Amino acid sequence: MKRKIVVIIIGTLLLMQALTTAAFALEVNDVAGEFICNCGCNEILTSCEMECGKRLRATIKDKIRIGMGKDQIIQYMKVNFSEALLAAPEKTGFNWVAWITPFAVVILGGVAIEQAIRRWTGRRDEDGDGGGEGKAGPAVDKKYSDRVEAELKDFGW
Amino acid sequence: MTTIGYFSLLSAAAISAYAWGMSVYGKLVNRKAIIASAERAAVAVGGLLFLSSASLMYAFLTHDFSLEYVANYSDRTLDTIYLISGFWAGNQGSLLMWAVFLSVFTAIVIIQNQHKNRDLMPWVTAILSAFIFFFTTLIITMANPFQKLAFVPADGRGLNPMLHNPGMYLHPPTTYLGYVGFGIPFAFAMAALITGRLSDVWIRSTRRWTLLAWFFLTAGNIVGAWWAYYTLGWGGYWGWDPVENASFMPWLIGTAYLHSVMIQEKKGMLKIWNVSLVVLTFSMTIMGTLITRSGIINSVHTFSNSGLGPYLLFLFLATLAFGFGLLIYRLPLLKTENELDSIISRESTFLFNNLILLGIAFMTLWGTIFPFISEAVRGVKVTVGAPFYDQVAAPLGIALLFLLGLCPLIAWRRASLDNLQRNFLYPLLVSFAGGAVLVAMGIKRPVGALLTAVLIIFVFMTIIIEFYRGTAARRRMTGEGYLTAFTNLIWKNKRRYGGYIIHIGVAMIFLAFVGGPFKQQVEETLTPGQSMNVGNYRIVFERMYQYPQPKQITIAAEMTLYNRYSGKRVGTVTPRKEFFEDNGNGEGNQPWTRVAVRSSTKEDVYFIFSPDDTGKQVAGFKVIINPLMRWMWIAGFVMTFGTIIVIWPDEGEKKRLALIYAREVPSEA
Amino acid sequence: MNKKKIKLLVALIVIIGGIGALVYTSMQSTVTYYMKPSEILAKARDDGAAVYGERVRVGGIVINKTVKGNAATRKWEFMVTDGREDKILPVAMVKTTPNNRILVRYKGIVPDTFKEGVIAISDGVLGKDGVFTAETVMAKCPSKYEASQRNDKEMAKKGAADKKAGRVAPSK
Repeated sequence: MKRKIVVIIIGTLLLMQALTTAAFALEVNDVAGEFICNCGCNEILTSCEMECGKRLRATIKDKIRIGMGKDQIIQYMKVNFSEALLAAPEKTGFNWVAWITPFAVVILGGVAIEQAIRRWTGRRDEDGDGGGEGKAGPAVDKKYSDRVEAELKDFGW
Repeated sequence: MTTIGYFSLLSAAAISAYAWGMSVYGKLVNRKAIIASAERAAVAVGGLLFLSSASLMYAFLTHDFSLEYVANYSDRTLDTIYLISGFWAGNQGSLLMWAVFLSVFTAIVIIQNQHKNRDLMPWVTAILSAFIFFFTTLIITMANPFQKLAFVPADGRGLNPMLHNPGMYLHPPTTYLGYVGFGIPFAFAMAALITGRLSDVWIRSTRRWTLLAWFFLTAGNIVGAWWAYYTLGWGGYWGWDPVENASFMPWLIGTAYLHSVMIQEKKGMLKIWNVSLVVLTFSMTIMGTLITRSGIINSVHTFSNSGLGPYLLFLFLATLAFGFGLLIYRLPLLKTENELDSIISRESTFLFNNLILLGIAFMTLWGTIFPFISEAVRGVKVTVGAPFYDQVAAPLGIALLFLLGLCPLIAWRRASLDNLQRNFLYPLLVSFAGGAVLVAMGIKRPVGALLTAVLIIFVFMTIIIEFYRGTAARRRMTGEGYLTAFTNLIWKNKRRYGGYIIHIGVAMIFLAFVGGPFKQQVEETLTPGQSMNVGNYRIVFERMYQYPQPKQITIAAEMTLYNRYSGKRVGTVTPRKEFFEDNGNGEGNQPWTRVAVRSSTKEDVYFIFSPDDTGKQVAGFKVIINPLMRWMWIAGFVMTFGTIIVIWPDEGEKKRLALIYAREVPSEA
Repeated sequence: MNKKKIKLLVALIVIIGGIGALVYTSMQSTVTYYMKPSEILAKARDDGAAVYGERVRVGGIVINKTVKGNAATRKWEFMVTDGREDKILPVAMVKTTPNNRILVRYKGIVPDTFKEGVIAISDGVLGKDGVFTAETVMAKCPSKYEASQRNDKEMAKKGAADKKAGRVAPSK
């Protein structure tokens, strides 16, 4: 059951990742958002107010005018300027490594934690209600009544 | 005056070396007198660096342009607050700031622990003094703020106009206090490893220091974002700039550390993990200093090629090596019998909390280094920018938000599934209902934003219910009125309820994130009288005028906003562009954009004004609508407030700590 | 110290060494890490063997009226002089001396942003004749938020003229 939940969660996360925002009539800023200004100021093209930014946006506007689609424009810019102009690595070839690695690390970590928790809960059996999910509390045992006492003290009683 | 400053700096360097050496020596030969002398020396270093800093500050305030540093970063027209902040405008002063903060903290720690932790303190003093020695020596040899000029100029060069705003006097000091603050738990962790005293006394002794450092780092980062938003004028607040990332990573790791030490306190587990986290956090703060100070990265923070890079890199690597080396050395002592009562317990949610926070930190690090990896493997350099981080962080952030909501529902040690299901259901239903409302309102894409909004409701609900339950229970027991019960509930459980308040702040930050995808941007060129439509607004360009100010000419535009549909007048804004006079250096005028923002809890309307270069009455306007932006700043206050509550001294806790110290192995060295 | 600890310590040293190498090389390879003309000329005077003929990176402001060449022939020649990074960078009206300017010769494509007044960063070799032969040329925007420099200069000149003539609007 737990595994199913985990799979569902991970699946949802990956699915979300793949979903793109709705498509509008192509505007300069939609495409410009995929790029970074090429003069080294590290700004997304939509925000760059410098000559380099304005010139690039003009180029994009021109390409839209002659009917190029978003992906085509991206490829054009990549070839004629440089791959480094794209604000994030494309999801192709080696660049997949960029995208996958963080998730791989988190998933591996999650598995490690799951194993660790299993190991750590397997051993104890103080109350006799077995490892794993604690069932609804049995008769009150001293540990709990001590805690209640302590917390009552905290409340000032 | 400045000679005093310089000589106290020199003395501080020498005496910190003494404190370092004598602490170690005194501990090894077991002579209390020597240790005490070293401690007095370390306290003296704090005083000396304070004196040195005060004299530099004095130089700024009295326009002492015989100092190159003062001449470079101030002039006679500067307001007092900017004279003060000139102190940290460049490398020399900001390194001095690092040193003085660290040495003053060290002095306080020594005074606090005069009768405690006697076994650990010599090592703490030694380690902190070593760092202080490094910084002061670096300053003296490579970045001396007291460097004199061959002649005294009549006026200074002034402070970069980009820095003329509150962010300049708020952001650097708070961020540095955060960085430096983590040095204290680091030093104690190292001392604990060296002495083998690995119970959690060292954690409890440094708990408030860690919280304080976290407080400042959180504030520093949020103020930094605020500064970027209002000053840099590109409509955003975070660019995933490597320097921003360098400040984000220690915050993430520090937050993970804050949580996982609680597990060690409750169950004595994860000792190795916690030491690793504190070493990583502090090392990353040094990395942050390195990146900001060495000019590695071209960004807003870039300073001149100072040559400091290699030395700070060395310090970073040495800290890592020292920390992890000691950890490995003491590995056998750190292994514990790990036991968790239940899979579903607060402990396990904290483990996942750590996983996500470190996952985000890894993502940040990975994104920063991937361009170099790509170049090494493919020979092609790629850019890893905001779209990468946004897409990768989104699912991780959502997972974190879910954990945040789960937190109040799951008790320490064990939560029964029945219990959990019951407590879970009501908030979950309300959140889904909220989600349904949003979908009905037409807000369904991007899916991530919708899911985030639903989870924010979930978090608010679980925390509010927790406050309600607690208050009600208290009322039943004490008969107090609602308000009294509520206040006392928080006050008598500062850690828990302060923590919940901080979590509400975090949920508010996510709320600001939710607005992001719905940002709108319109650019138009207008003449006075014309208007443009953006979002729900009709904006009229009323007029354009200019006026002189000291050393600059400002051109301003008056805009009036109206509700586009009802015609109702909403307000006015005045975005500006500033042009600076030739300052005689051969430096021409550089224009500076001063944005205007009309802000409400619903959205920000953000104006960038670009006057035409022909001097005609026509100008370009860029208007950006940033929904829910204000929640980021509200969150800052909420988190600050919550942290203050958590840090506040607590009588009950003092008593419990006293018992623990008494129980511990005799603290004499 | 037992074997396990030694193994771990070695692993630690290797990892830290790797991190150090990674950060150090990234420090060398980024756009801002370059020498100014005055610095490289001074270094050449002190220790010629270390500089002449060695591949170095020089960054400086392109001096007005010194750019020769065009995109068709792809042969360029221009002079660069010291710029200041701790302030917003100045337009090229800086006083230059033989000690802080270098002639750069370059064959290839220059970036869009290359022109008088911007900082040009060149990788290449300084010859004993004082001419820098560049293999690559990058141009850096002087600051984040500038509109065209020439235009703003005009704007500012007009502003200064207005101010002189007393044509200023009431201040706010």
